[in-house]
Amino acid sequence: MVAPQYFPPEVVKIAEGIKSMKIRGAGRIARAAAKALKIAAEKYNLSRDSESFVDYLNLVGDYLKSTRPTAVSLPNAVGYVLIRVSQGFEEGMGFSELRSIAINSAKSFIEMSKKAVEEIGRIGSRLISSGDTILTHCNSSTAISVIRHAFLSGKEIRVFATETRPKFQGLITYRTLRDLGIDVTLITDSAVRFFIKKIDKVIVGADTIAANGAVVNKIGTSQIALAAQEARVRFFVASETYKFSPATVLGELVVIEERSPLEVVPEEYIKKNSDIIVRNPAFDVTPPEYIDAIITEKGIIPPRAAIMVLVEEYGRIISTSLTKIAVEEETD
Amino acid sequence: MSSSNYYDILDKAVEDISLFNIYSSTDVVTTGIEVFIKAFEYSSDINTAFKYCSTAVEKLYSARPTSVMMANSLRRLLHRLNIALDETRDFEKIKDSVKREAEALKQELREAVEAVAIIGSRRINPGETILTISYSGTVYRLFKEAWDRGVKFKVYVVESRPGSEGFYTAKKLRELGIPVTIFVDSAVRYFMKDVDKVITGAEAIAANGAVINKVGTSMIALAAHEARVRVFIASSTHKFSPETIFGELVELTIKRPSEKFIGEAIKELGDVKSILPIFDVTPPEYIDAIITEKGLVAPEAVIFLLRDIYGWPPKFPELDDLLKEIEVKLW
Repeated sequence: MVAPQYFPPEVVKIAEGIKSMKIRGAGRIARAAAKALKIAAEKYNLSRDSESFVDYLNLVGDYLKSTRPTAVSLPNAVGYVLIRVSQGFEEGMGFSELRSIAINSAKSFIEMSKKAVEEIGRIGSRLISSGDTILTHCNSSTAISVIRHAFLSGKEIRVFATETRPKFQGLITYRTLRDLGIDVTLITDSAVRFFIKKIDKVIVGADTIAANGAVVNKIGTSQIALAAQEARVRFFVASETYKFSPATVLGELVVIEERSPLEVVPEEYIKKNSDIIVRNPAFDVTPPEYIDAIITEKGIIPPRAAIMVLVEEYGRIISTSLTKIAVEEETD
Repeated sequence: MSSSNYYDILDKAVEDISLFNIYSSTDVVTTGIEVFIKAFEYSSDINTAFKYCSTAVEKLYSARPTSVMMANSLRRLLHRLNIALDETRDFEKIKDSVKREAEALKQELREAVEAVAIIGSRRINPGETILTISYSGTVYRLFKEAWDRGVKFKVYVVESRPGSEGFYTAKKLRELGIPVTIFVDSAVRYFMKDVDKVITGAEAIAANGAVINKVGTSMIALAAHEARVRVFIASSTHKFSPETIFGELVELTIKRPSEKFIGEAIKELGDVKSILPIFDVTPPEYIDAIITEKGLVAPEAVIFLLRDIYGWPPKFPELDDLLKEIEVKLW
């Protein structure tokens, strides 16, 4: 989607940043999108009637969402702001009232998102006992928050971090935890089952959580969960509620992004062996039966209760979409 | 020939083996057998030869303690030397006798791999997708056998960290014309539903049918079990461990972090705390069959094959005992 001329340049810059992955990580993308909507509301200088303003904000929202259509935190951040604006509109509010709702709800989303990571850390750290060895995968700010809070509260813990091929994000986790003073050991992804009996708890983050409690996260997560289940090691997912996907309630599948083979092999290998297929799925799906609990900023929930979070947080979006589907079916 | 020459050759071979520069475990053992024989070629009397070859046995064994086939092969060569010493003290005759045994053993190992390949290749059906890990000379021969017979199939191979031998496997299979797809070890469960069969090699097989192979194999077997995909292990009986009948555990190699095993990142991070197991153990309940040169057997039947080879209760000399026995004879 191309940005219309009248969109503020700051909004376009943020959207380009998300698209090019200069802005990455589910949380950061969500906060950037909320910030873009806030700027769009502040800089709005077209017709001062409430309907034009709502249409304009919806257009900006669609534009932002089109940058990375699979990341659920992005549409959820946009939806968080827009749903409050359209609620005000239906209640008959005027332009300036709606504008302040847009600005304030964007601000409160950003605030909420930052606080959520800390709150998840506080809540999740209670699940960790002194003497525990924890396994984590990839580089998740929520999982690290849980580990950090447990460590800072004086619990003696050890961490095993997978290197996380293809992009080795595990090395970032290794460095972060080591710099905090935590005893951390790096292992290969292939060695997870070898070490799982030494592990007391697994904690990972999430990219998206579906209505049935299935967790979409970095490739490799689902086989760690499988190995943990086999060894009866508990498996926790630390995730903000805005990573729950309302679209999955409506039957939509979460699309798994396949990325460039250049992340797996150097360019020379591809040139020399052009007929070897290199596949690079970025995420996989962990079924809810392998997950003991999901730690959110609102509390710890069993994965099967994901629908509760979705109804609580996105009930309005879901029912609006359901109405739309019903209307579309009628007009067909 | 000077003695430093022999130790140079030995050290070079030991380095290649312990750094995993030789991918196939059968090639590792062949290298070991050849170095053992050089102990005689570089000597002109039995005492020197024995000094060389006892050092070789010690070093070769510790270079790859997980390789049961290495221990079994060294045992056989020492056993032949021990018997030869009872028959004659003529160095040339002893040398000939041990060399003939070495040639026969190498031949036997080659033929075993061929037999495993032929039997195993029959399990591949047209249109199937086979998943494998690391590089196995036996599995390579098995794939080649099926492909040469005109069976069209695809192979998925994991990169197989640390070491990443999967890239070598991909290249070798592609040279045969077999369609190959490679992905990271983490993606095994993601792709498992597209896989018809898993076929891997083995480093060693224990008396209960547990398979020791490249780390990641047990994760693959578990994911296959979950998805009800069958798992086959291609291994000659030379890799079966008689010691495990008496409760010995197979020693698993663990590497220290280094550039070869952790990659470029070690430069940036400095002193990385890392534990790198090279092998893991796949329990027999996740294995459908072990393909041996004596036929395809259930993992629970490994004990019968061990009985056939070593008798019941099994009799086989320890490497140390053999070395001592020979030493006494040469006193």
